[in-house]
Amino acid sequence: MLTDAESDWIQVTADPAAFLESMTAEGWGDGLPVVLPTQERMERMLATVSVDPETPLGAMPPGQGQVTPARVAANAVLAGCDSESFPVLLTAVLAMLSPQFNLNGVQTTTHPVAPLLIVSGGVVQRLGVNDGAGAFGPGTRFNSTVGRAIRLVLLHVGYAKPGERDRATQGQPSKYAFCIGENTRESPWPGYAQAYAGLEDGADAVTVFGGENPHNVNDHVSGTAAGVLESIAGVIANPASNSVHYTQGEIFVVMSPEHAATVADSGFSRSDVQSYLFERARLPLSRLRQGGMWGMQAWPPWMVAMDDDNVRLPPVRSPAGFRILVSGGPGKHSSVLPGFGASKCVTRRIGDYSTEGEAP
Amino acid sequence: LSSTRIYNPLGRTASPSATPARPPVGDLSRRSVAILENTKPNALALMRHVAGHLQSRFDGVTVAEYRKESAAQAAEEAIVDRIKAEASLVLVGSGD
Repeated sequence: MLTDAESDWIQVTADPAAFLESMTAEGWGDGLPVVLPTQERMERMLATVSVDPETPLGAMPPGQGQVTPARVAANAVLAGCDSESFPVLLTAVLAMLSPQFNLNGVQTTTHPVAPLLIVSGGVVQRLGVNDGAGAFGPGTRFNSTVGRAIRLVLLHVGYAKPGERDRATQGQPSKYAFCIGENTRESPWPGYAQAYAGLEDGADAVTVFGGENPHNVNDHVSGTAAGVLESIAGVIANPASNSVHYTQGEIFVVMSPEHAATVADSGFSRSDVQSYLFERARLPLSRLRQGGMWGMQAWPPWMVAMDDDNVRLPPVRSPAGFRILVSGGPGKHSSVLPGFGASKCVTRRIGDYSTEGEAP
Repeated sequence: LSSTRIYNPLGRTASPSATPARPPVGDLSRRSVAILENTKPNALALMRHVAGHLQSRFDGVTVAEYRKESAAQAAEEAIVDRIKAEASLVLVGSGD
């Protein structure tokens, strides 16, 4: 039941343009127009979940605002979300509160990191999540509004205002909205949540990942797995990436259906892709010494002991550090998303609103 | 213009802790100053400079450096406990 406490409700102008002006003056929002979270809209949003609207679900760093279904719903309405998408959003918000995600670091670092929301399972088709052409881009209500709602929750509940608690030097455009569907219809491999989180085939799930904007991999020529993966390895092996010198965190490789088909046609499983990249997406020690974050390595002892300029070192601790999935439409473009590093991705079944650690 | 009632989207925060802050250290003479290194070399350079300045201004100031594992994670509790036990003042670097 929504509280009627006076402090939870505020009287505002009903004029959208005037409201945008006043909320901007108050330091709210992402700079874009919003939908007003009136009682009727709030109730419609909250009717899609079975949790009491005022249930405390955890404090969100860095400002430690209390997450409740009602606060998340208010931001979902502001962002323009359809009510049917609310269970996905609420699950994703809770996934970000998992300790391994290190939301405090993600919110406050000078690195541009933004949480990417990946939606997997039958829910992708049911709710119209874009897993095809232009998945990272505009034009789909779900991706645009749910991605935006995540940012509004981070701003309004976590109080991560840019230039204040959000210390990002430049930020990145995906801080407005960063949401894609997994294209299992055209993937040659088992779904992401099945492969990496042990959920059953087709399970409705979200994955949150603290990452950089997509770095494009353009390969119109290669007709073999080795060819496509050499192109991907070339984009990964970037001496200025956080992962390479410093954290050796996760790197997401989002393959287009056509690139994935080419790779799978060479007999490669997902695991083969990971192993290939672990061997080939490396940089020589001589190059690593030239800049980036040299001097700050948080490397395992075996890498620290290397002294041969020609030795080639990997950007992740093991092949499992590469997270492979398929998204996008026709064409020969894939993408690499280097991670923030000091954060591990979290996969959670949609509708799991538990608050203790990572859900199975 | 007409008005309407909306649900406040801002997260509620707990009331500030009632624990009083330690009184400021007025005179640093013969005190220990801790540098909590956040693994960022530029922050360390700045903090060493500040510590050197304190040493030149006060008699007998000692400086010790403590390193946390990652700039992106909170300092480990054991390090915080050591600093609390060993230092009167701690310099903390934030940013790069």
